[in-house]
Amino acid sequence: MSKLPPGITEDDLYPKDKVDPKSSQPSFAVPTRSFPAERAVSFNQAGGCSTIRAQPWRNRPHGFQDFAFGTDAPERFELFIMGDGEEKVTAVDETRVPNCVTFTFNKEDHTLGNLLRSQLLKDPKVLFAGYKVPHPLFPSFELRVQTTDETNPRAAVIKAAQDLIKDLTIFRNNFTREWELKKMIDPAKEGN
Amino acid sequence: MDGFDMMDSGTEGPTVTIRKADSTRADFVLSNVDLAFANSIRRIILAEVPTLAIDLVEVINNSSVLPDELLSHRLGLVPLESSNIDEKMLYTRDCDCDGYCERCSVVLTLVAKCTGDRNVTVYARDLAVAAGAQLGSPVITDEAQKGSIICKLRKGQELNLKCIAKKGIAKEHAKWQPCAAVAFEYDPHNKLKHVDYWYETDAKAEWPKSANAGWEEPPQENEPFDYNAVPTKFYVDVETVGSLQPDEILRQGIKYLQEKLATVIAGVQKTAGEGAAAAAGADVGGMDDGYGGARSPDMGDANGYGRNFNDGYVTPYGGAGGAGAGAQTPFGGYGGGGYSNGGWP
Repeated sequence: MSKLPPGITEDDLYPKDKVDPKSSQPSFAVPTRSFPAERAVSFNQAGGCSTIRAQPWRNRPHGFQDFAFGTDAPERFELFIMGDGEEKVTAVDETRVPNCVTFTFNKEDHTLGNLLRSQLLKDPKVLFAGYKVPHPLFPSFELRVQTTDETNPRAAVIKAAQDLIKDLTIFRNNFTREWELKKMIDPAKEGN
Repeated sequence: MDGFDMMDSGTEGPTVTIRKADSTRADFVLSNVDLAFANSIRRIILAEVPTLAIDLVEVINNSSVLPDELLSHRLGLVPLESSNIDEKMLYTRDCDCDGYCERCSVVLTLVAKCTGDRNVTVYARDLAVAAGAQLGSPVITDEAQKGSIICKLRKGQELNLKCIAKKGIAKEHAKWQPCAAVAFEYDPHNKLKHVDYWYETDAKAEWPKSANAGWEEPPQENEPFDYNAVPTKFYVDVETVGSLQPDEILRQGIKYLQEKLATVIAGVQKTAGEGAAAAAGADVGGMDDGYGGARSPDMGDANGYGRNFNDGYVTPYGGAGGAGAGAQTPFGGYGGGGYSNGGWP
């Protein structure tokens, strides 16, 4: 640290409590993830991102070794293995909009998010369905669903998932049938 | 119900036309589905279908020119036969053993030494699978039956390695990928204008036609742009690395996608339960019991179906009726519209 001018302390340069939120709030949320939980908390206390909604990767329980040995990169399997005490789905009821819930899916990505979103939009009782991945480095997405009074967002998501499961079964059956047919017609192509 | 439902998930459902089928390729046209559905299939077969790959290498002797790390990396990328892996193997993290055992790993040994004056090339075929292993033999497709080159040895150089192959998915490391490539195309004539072609003078003359262009009507001269059109026909070409047959990759992908959706149902039902319990001031603790297992893609049930979902939801798919009946219970307490009242004090 270079020498400070007289009368100026480090606190003046980096005030701990009085912080202009505009200047101190990072435009991206990366740093908080790569720190251990204790550090993330102190980052919040310094006036960082405390206004952002609860994010699952903050204050997260450390069920397994947090970082790959020798680096600060998280273990790759954390992309799909739930940590201790983590929930697959959490739901927050939107208080300003009727019949609206924001679901946060943990350890999931666009594979599921976009699939559910597009299926929900086919349901005439669904007024709004959208998803976002808050940050590409963190394996979670948020799905916001608003429905009419005839149903509720939870039921709509469950129905969408059930319809997709049925569609996938049809797809599997059609594919298997066509595959067997193709093999029968064209047996020479079998083997390499 | 109304025509809207009929259009997508009603009478017909996803339709498949297979154009090419052999042991390493599945080239098919998937129609009557939306882009998200087709893309989810593509994503899941690329990243989340488990295979077997060498994960640990115990180097007993390596006097070759390749450092241990490089050799281990090369070994990891050798495709290993993995068909029906879900019935034969567990993930090591789900296994009871310390380290690894025959239920969650396959041991391959590689012993090679160059004694003559000519250099020796070590191929994938030289990997010896432990006796009694149901899978894990290196995939060899070349005519000489050698497999991929692992290393070359000069006179006096020696390799003595013990390789432990484990089950895994490509989200963790690309060596577990069952697909070498998945070609994916829709709208070959660019009628939807999802692509903006760069051109010098005339895009039509300068860009070659897609191989799939013959499968769709070319646009008419001065055809007006249909702003309601959505892609419905997808040209998919799955190319494997040899560890799994292409049809098995697809069926496995579908299965894992269905399991994902089943965990969605279970998870969303659980949030409803918590909300209800919290509203009533009840103790939620009991709800956690037996749910902790729902996290892993494969917890060890041989067929992988319907395990560790909450009671009443044992077979999330297969029987549509069963799924519907199971899903209704948690909402019994709500009734029509009851939920929104509960949420609004």
